[in-house]
Amino acid sequence: MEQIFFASHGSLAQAMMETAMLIVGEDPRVRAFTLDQYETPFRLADAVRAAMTEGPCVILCDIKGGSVHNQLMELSARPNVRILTGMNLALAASLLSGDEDEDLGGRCQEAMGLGQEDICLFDALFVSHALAQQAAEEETL
Amino acid sequence: MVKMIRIDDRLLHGQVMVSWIKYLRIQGILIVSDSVASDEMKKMAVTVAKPADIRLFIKNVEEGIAAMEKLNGFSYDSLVIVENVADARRLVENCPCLKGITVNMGGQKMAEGRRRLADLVCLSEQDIEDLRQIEAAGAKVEVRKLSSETPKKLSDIV
Repeated sequence: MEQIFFASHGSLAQAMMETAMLIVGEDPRVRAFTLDQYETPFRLADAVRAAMTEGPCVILCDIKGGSVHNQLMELSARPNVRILTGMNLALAASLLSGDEDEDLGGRCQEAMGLGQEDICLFDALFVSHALAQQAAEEETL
Repeated sequence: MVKMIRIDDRLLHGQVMVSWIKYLRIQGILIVSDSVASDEMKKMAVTVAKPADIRLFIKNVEEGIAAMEKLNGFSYDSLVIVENVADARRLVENCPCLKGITVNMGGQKMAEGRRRLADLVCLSEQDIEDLRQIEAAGAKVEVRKLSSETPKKLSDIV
């Protein structure tokens, strides 16, 4: 079975995993590793290594270049391991809801794209433009 | 074809976008709601949240009934989302093309006169009567929040 790990400073990984499962349902593939549980990023990385099986593994990290990611980075050289950084809920929910029969690399790409698209700024300027364009762009049925 | 009607007072939100769109393999969503169709700000909030590859239509109930046959005739599959049971009943009873459709009870929040019958499903006696009439009209009512869950029947919860 493939594995999906969430790894972070603080308790983000645990909360992100639980929140994603609220949206897509319980998932036996997941496990969280946080710096609340492990004293240092080195210990966290040891725990991740110990938890990995022979099967494919995706590791979601909180931030690119953070100490958690830095410690785990070397694992991405393994043929069965992928690391996605900058975890957010759109990315996590997409990954957990993907079809397991489809290629895992492709599912990671799709999740990454959705995670990137989900970061937007909404403010008064956006609202005034959007309302002005709304009538013109409305889909007809 | 219209694949399903979902009753969910949160309308288009994370569970629908992640769980149901993939599961039903739909490319169109019709939101039928008098309150959203008459409120430009609400319409915009729904529109900015939709996935890029989904065609989204927003109609009030009267317009929704009038447009249903056209939507049902499109080459792609669609999901219809309504806010409450009464609106779902109006669609089922007034749209012949929806005969035999699955009506999914996704969620109704707690309010005065309602009681909790399942996780996220709080219904009044009138709601329950409306659901029975939906079944009497030939539709299949199921209770299910996420597509990955096992659907329950109306008779399992009332």
